[in-house]
Amino acid sequence: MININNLVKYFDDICAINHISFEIQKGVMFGLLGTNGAGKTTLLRILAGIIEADEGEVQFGNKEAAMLSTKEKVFYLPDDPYYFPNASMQVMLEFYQKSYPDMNSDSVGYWAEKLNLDIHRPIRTFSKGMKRQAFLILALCSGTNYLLCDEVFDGLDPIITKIMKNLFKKEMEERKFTIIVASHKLTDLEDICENIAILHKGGIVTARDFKETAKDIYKFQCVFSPEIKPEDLKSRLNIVKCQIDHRFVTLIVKGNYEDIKKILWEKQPIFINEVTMSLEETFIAEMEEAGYDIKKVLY
Amino acid sequence: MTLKKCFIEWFKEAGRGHITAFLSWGFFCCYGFLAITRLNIDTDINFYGIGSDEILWICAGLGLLISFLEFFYLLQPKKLDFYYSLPTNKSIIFWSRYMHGSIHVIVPLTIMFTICGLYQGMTDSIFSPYSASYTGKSILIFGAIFLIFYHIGILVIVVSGNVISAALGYITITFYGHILIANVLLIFAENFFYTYYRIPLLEELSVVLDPISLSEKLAGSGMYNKYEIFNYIPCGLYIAAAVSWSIILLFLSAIAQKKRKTERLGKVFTLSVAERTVEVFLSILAGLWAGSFFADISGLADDNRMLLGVITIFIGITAVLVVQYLLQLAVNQNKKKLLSHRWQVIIQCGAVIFISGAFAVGSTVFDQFFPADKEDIRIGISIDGLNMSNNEYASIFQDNDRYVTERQLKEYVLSEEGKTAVLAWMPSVIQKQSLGSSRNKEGVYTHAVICYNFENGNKQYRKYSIDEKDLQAFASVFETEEYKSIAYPEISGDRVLDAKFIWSDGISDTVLKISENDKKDIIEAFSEDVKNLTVEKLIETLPLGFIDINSEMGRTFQIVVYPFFEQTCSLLEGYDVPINKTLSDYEVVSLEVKDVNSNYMDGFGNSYTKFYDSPEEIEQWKQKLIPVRLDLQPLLFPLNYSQKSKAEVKDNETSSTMKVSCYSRE
Repeated sequence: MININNLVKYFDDICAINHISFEIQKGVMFGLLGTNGAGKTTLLRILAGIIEADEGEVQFGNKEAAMLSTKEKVFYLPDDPYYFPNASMQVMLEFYQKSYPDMNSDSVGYWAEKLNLDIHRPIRTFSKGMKRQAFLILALCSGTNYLLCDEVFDGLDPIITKIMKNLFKKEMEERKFTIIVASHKLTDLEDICENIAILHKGGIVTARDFKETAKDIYKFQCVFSPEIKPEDLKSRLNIVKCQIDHRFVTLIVKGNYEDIKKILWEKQPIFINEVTMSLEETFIAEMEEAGYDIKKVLY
Repeated sequence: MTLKKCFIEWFKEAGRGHITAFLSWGFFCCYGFLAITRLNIDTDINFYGIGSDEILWICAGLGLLISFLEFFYLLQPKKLDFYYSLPTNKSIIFWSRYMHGSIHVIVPLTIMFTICGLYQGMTDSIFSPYSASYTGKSILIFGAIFLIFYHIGILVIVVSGNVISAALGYITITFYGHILIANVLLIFAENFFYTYYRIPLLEELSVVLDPISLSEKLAGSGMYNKYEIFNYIPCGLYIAAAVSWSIILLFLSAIAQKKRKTERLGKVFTLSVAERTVEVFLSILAGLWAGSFFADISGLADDNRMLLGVITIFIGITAVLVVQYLLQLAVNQNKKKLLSHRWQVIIQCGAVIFISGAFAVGSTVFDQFFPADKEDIRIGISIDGLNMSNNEYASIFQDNDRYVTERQLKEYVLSEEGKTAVLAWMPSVIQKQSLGSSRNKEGVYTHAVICYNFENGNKQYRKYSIDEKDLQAFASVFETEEYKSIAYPEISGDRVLDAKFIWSDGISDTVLKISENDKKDIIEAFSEDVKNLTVEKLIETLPLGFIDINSEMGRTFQIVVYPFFEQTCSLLEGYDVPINKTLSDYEVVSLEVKDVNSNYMDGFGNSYTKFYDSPEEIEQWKQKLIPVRLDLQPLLFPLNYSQKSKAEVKDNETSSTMKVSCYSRE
């Protein structure tokens, strides 16, 4: 488990991380969502032990992030990873093997072959997507308990993104380890992350399992008879959002599915249809309910 | 992974790319090859270690290059994130890089010097006994020079956030000491102190605080004598300074690399303490420099030193504030913070006020200095134009050359009756200095430089302007036995009995065919005549000539013969030496007179040359021309130095002609 407690980091006068506290359970894929400058990379760099926090602490289990025994269990994959000039995947693998004793070279070879990556070819000759794949393979095969990834899907085409997400999923199936993925796009995270934390201006907006939350939020499209006022429903339903377009009403309601349905049917709607919500919609609804203009964060 | 294993792995990692190895081994291989080639040609003027400027610059240059190559990762954000995310201690990466850079210079340096030492030892029998010591000393000295420049580079990279600030930092550390001493403190001394000649402490500081000068001193730069170079050991102060530079810089680097803020990469400094330190040092230097520049160009010191002091302080404080403002603007880019470090600015201004004020307030004390304890000192003295040729005298005025003065200050060291006479002569001279350098404009006849040699080895130098009266009063010093024994050293008869005595009248030489007893007699007569020598007599007449005494041991002495040296003259006349033969007694074929219109002190001006070959004109000129070699007291018996003549004299014995340089009497 990663325990982040009251973390603060200033860059001169700018507060990059502002009293952040949350926990990341072991064996989950955790998403860090936020706009550019929200503090995602700073948080990851603190977790990786590259920079030190001004206040607060980060613990991996019971050990501090900066300890060497902790760092042996953490692999940090930045958005633009460094590689030695003219180095191939094989050279980087050999280098990483010295630092990470559980590095699995066979797996690296296997995945590289699967993804048509020549491990003896200089990385500098790889395309952006190939470089990302190469380093993701190295990161996943490092054998560490924690993997910190910063904007790994940024700028990649959908096919490569899909491939990389599959890589994550397959590796997660094989061994339970904790992955933290930072991104500024919810779509990058919604299908792979169980938990997501939103960072905004250095502070944390929320951190929770949104799929779990989505179970209690439902979206209905209804047309009621003219004498029925949608506002009347507010007293009986926990309406997160209500959008009225003439007689066409879209409701996002929180609560027990059966209870909601019963109340709506009591109003004898002319038309009623339940619409499946995307995680993004759930997310936005949840945030707006909490009083955040989350669209500003996401878009 | 154990710490040791980890260190070795990172040491190997530092060698990735092999640029350091390529550079250092390449440079030393090329230098070694060139050194051996040159030793093959001449071992008297070529030196592979101490005494070689090339290896000095190679070591200093490698220090700079390798420090940037090895520690450049500290300025690369991507690489730094990569390294620091790995399960490795930051210090291990730092020290493995340090060792990698050091070993790749020290090892090839040692191998190259050893090979050169062995080669020269085999080919040069004079060098053989020095082979091991010279090679060993060279390895230590040039290793130390490399470390000084290597450690400067490491420190500036560790505290800097980008390559430009690192480069500027390197330049600042390298030249700060030199600028502070040569361009600030010495300029202050020259302007505020009327009697300034040299301040040994500042001169030592200018070496100790300047890594380039220190390296040159350590490496024996500028030395040419083979034996001197082979036996050379730098003075203890310079060795201590080199060790201090290396240790202090490395110590600071080691601390800074631990405290360094990775997130400040890209900014000017990675440590706020470095930012503050640079602000303090640079603004103080700027304040003092601006003040000294004004003091130098204003010429106000001649009129009012205290006023100059006040203006200098005002300019200095202004410069401190401006530089502080600019530095904070460049570093912080946050206008709210500008001039926020009030106490720091107060300290900076205080330093400028203290240093500038010390020169202004201390100027009178400096100029009026007179040793309190007169028992334990020895006094070196040199008066411009006294006991030196006109060429030497002119070099002091025209080129500000100190060579002759320094030579005399070492030779004319008085500790007995001469010292008593100097101490009696000086109070009036010192008193007149309070009139300031305005005395330079009128009434100044020449300058006297005094060196107070204290028992503890310290030296204090003063340069006094002296007028004609002072010079006349100096006769009391000149006529002491101690002073005369230095100006006209007594020659031990036994040492020169086998020597050749050659009479020279400044035109031609005549070997004296005299017995050993005659030689003894001449030396004794000369000693007696010197006893009666007075300044008054020197003012009245020029020497007739001199006797060069060349012994078989290679020693050369000279006896100057004046017309009033009665005993010497009568002896020489007895040996049929033509002591009264002058240029007018020679057959002059032609004459070339170069008339320099300007004063020789200016060194510039129009000149024209006239040629004379008619007997009447030549005869006229012959009567007033004096061979340059007889012009031994240009101050006491000045000739007309605006006319430089060359007489073509016919030697009837050999039927040849010779050109004799002359000055005219009027």
